[in-house]
Formats: sequence, C-alpha cells, structure tokens
Amino acid sequence: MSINEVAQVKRLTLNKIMLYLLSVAFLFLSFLTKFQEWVLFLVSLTILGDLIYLNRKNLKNFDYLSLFILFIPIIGIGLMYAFGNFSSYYYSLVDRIFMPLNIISFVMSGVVLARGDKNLIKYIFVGLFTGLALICLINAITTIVKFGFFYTFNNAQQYMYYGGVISTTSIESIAYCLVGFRLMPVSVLTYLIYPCLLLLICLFYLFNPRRCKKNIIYCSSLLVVSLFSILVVISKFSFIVILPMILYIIVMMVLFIFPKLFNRPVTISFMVIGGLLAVFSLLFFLNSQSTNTAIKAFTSSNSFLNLLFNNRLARPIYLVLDGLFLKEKLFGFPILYDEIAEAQVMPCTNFAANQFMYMGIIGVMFLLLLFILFVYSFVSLRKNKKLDFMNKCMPFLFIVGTMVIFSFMDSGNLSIYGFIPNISATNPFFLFTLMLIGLQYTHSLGGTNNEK
Amino acid sequence: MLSSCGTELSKTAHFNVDHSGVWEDNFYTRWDESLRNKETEQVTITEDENQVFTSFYDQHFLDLEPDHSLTYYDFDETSFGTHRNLALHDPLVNDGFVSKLFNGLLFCNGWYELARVQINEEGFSSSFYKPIQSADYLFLQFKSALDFKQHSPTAHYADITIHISLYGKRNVTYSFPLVNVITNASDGYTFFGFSLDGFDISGTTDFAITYTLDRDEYNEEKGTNISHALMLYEFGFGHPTF
Repeated sequence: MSINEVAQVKRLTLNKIMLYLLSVAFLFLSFLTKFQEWVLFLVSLTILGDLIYLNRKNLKNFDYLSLFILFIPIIGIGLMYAFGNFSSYYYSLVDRIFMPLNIISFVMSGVVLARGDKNLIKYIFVGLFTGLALICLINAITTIVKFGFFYTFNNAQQYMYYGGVISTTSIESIAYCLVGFRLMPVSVLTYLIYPCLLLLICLFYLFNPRRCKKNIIYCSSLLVVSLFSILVVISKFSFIVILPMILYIIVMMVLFIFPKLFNRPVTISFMVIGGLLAVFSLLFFLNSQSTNTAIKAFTSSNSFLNLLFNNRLARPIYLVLDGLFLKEKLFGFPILYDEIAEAQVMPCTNFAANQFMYMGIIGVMFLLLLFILFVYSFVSLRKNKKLDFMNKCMPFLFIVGTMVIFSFMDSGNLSIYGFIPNISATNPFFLFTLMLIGLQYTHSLGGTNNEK
Repeated sequence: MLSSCGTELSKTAHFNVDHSGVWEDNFYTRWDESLRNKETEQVTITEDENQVFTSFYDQHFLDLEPDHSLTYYDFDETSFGTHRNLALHDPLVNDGFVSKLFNGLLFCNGWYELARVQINEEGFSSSFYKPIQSADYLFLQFKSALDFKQHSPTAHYADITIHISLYGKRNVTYSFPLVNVITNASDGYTFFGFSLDGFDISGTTDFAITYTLDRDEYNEEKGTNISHALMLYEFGFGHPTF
C-alpha cells in the first residue's frame, strides 16, 4: 500500500472507532444527563455531524423534499412535548427547548445512516448495545448488593423509607437503577425495560444465521447479561409484566426459524390482528370516558368483556384518559391535559395513554400520523428486493417489539417515594426508535447505499 | 461480595406503619445483633450537673442552645426542626425507617407516620454514617402513650426512665428517670435532652434508645395492663461535629 492509502485506512479506522465510542457515550450520557437535555443534544449533534462527515459524498444526490412528509409529525411531536402543559410544569425552559431539537437530530441521524455505508451502522449499533448491556449489568449488580439474592421472595413485604417517607410499593417491586448520576431505587418496571430491550436485540443477532456465526460470543454475552438482569428481579409481578414481550419473542423466533411463513399467511394475520387491536383500542378509549354509560354497560355485560376492559391493569389507564373528550375541554385542545398538577393523576404503564397526558390530543394525532408513515414505509420496503433481510425487517420488528414492551412497561415515574417525571421525549429508547423510523423511511424511498 | 449483599435490608421495615391500624403491629424493634448484648458503661444523668431539660422553654435548654430565634411548633424556615435535624449534617441518615427521627418533624400535626417511630421497652438500634466527634447537647422529642383502642385516651402521667446508648469508640448508656411524663394527651410532647459537656462521644457510629416504664398512673389505678409505647418524633444533637 502507498503511504496515502495507509493514511486513508488509518483515518477510516479512527472514524469508525470514534463513532463506536460516541455511540457508547450517547447511551451513558443519555442516562447520566437525565434532566439536562442540552448535553444530550450536544452528543446527538456530534454523532449526526460525524455521520454526515463520513457520508458526505453519498448525501449529495438525495431528494430531501421527500422527507418533508416524515418531518411534519416529527416536528409536531417535538413542539407538543416542549410546550405542553405537562412539560411546562415539570421541566425548565432550557430542557424543553432542546426536546424537539433532540427528536429532529435523532431522526436525521437515521436518515443519514440509511444513506451511508452499511458497515457504519454496525458500529453505531454495537456501541449502543454494548452500552445497554453495561447499564443492565450495573443495575443488576447494584440491586443484588443492596437487596441480596432472591429478595423478591425473601423480603417481599418490606418497605423502604427516605426522610421518613415510605416507598409507594414494597421492595418486591423495587430495584436499583442508574438515573442521572445516582444509583437510585426505582420501580421494577423501570429496571426491566433495559434487559427486555437487550433480549429483543439478542433475538435479531441470534436468529440471523449469517450474523450469528460471526458474532456468537458477543451475542451470547448480551443474552447472558439480559437473562441475568431479569432473573435478579424475577417474581410473579415481573413475570406478568414481561409476558407480552416473551410471547412476542416466541412469535419472532418462529418467523426467523421458518422464514417462509413471513409471507402471505403472516401478512394477513398481522392485518387481522392489527384490525382487532384498532377496534379494541377504540372501545377501550370510549370505555375510559366516565360519561359513556352505554359503552360501559356493554363492556361489563359479560365476564369475558369485563375481564378484558375492566381489569386491574386498565384502571390507571382510564384515569389518565378520562375527561379528554368532554365538550367543555374542547376535545383536549389546546394541547393540554391541563389538570395534571391539581388532579395528581399519575402516568400509567401504557405508552399510548401517557402521550395524551404528555402532549395532548393534537400530539397524539401527530404520533398516529407517524405510525401510519412507519407502517406504510415498511410495506413499500418489503417490495424492495435489493435490500437484505436485516435492513428490511429489523427496524420494523424492533420498533414493534418496543411498542409491545412500552404498552405494558412505560415507566412514567422514576421515584418510589413521590413523583419524578420520565416523559418519552427524554427517554433514550424513544429517541433511538425515532432514529430507526428515520432509517426505515429513508430506505423505503429507495436508492440507498445499503442495497445489494 | 456475597456476604455483603442485602445492605439496604436493614433499613427497611416489615410493615407499612400505621396503615395496619393495629397497635401491636406498629412497634419498631429492629436491633443490630452485634449491639443488643454489648456491654456498655452505665451513666446516670443528673438534672443540674448535666443540665437536663424536659421542655423547649427550660432554662437549661435556653443556655445550651444560643439561637433563641428558633421556634418550636411550626415546621418552616425558622423552626428548630428545620435547623437542627441530623440529616442536614449527614444526608445518609435519610435512608431507612429511622429517618423519621432525622427529618425535622417534631410533631404529629397531620404528619402522622412521616414523623414518628413507635417503640416499646425493648427499643431499637440504628446507625449514623458519619462518626460524630462532639456535640453541645443531645435531644429527643417524644410522646408517651397507652394503646388507645383498649381505653379512651385519657390524659394521665407516667414515670419513665430513658436509656440512650451511644456506640463507637466508647459504649455508654445514658439514663435519666423522668417523673410525671404526660401520657395520652394530644398535645403532650416531651422535649428531653441534656448537655454533653464532660462526655467524650467522639467516634460514635451507632445508637440505641430503650426505656423502662416505672409506673403508669392509669394502669395502676384501674389495675389494668394496657400496652405502653413511646412515640419518638425527633432525635438529634445540638451543633455536632463530624
């Protein structure tokens, strides 16, 4: 090799290492700077800048207007988070200004990634997954040191105290997590999100034969860390919470092992399930309104419907949704679910319901538009035969997996003593999901460098 | 590392205090087993020599606490509780059930279970995380109570001997007999303490509070044996150094 070629190789390697380290830094900083959005923005901007620099040649000939439709809901969601009543009450102006900027920055990173060299994606993802595994390990070891082994069985009915204030739940529902610069006790829900996401990630590595062979040690390490983290807090409660995710993973395992199934029968099944879920969601929403006596009579008319609509998990969700459609509130406009502080309604464990609280009905409409664009981009991507399986399906399956997880495990409260908000706009996984949506949408527009 | 697991468990309580509504369930009796049977030097406090006070307005307390602008009854920016609670000096005492004794809440006043620790004569022990080296005085705010459910809350008097043990470089139990302690009165708080002048408390890392019920007027008159408790509200030191 000539001296110039050696220098070029060294520069490329250095860039890749820097990208890898930046990704790990992003994940750690996004946890450590829990209440400092501007620091997160600096990190995300650095990643975006680095990606743009590395891919500058590929970005020249691209129709950016085609991204306009994607950025309508993205900017809308960002603005609703920033200027909604919930954020205004709990976050400073500095944090709120950077919320939409962070959201846009991550989606742009996804767009640039899709236009970039496919090998670069590997470095970002490996960095993020390694950082996630490290955080899972830190949380698991801290929980064991603080509470001991099998504390969910041995010490279930004990309560923690701080400054005389008792924890809202007993310690079988408490674990230790890295939040901000502190290792603090949080609900098991918050703790479980990280190993569940890691388990989801392992799925895509382990059941993709080509990647699995090359990375078997790395994949197995991730799997061991995630299972160990889940085992630390295993109990009847945590098992019920992660059950939907386990079912999702089993379905995905079947699809990976029998890929031919992932065609017409599965597509039709998904459409049927999607339709049923849409009907269920609509009924659920209408049932939450205390003035809808006819719907309430219907949903409690027999034991099956009663179990489906009026169970213990549904009640906190109803509290959040109730009152949004009363006429005097103008259907939740402008923006606000404006009785947060007075009503003291806590965020529930359902992502969709919590968005009504965080950004109001208009924000939810934007989120729905984003979801429609996401599904549409996947459908058009499936027809693209030039892309390999991972680039085609992985973002979709991962995002659907996180939707399943966050339908049951969206932790809106970080504290076990009072209330520390944990809105989605500050959640690194929400931002990572938006990055994947940007990635998938750009792929669906075609002409990217990741096509074979 | 395995043997050091479960470090937070000693700070938890097995019950949600006062939510059970059952008197007997609410006693806090957790003892560090290494301290329970430890031999301590017995010191009996005397009223004049050790400047014992049993009220916020006692001359002995006014002499020991130079800041007379601190108020007694309210929990606000001027109150004694806000300025003299131990958590100000050692934030780690905020962790755990016994943190109720260090949060500056001296009264029930609607705080209820946020403010008090209910003990029987067996008492309890707990730890400081920063060893105390010296202090001007020690104080303990408490109420004396009989089980309300077993009789109507008639105010009366009891004789109690308080034992406060400090462990560390030296293990000493300070005792003082209190006579005619108001019992079962809704505003009947006792603000007890004494001067630590002449006592070497350097290196104190743990403490224990127990008491002896010498006489209860109501039980004595009625011939009953109704369960007695001390409701501890605040425990601390005046001007401690660490």
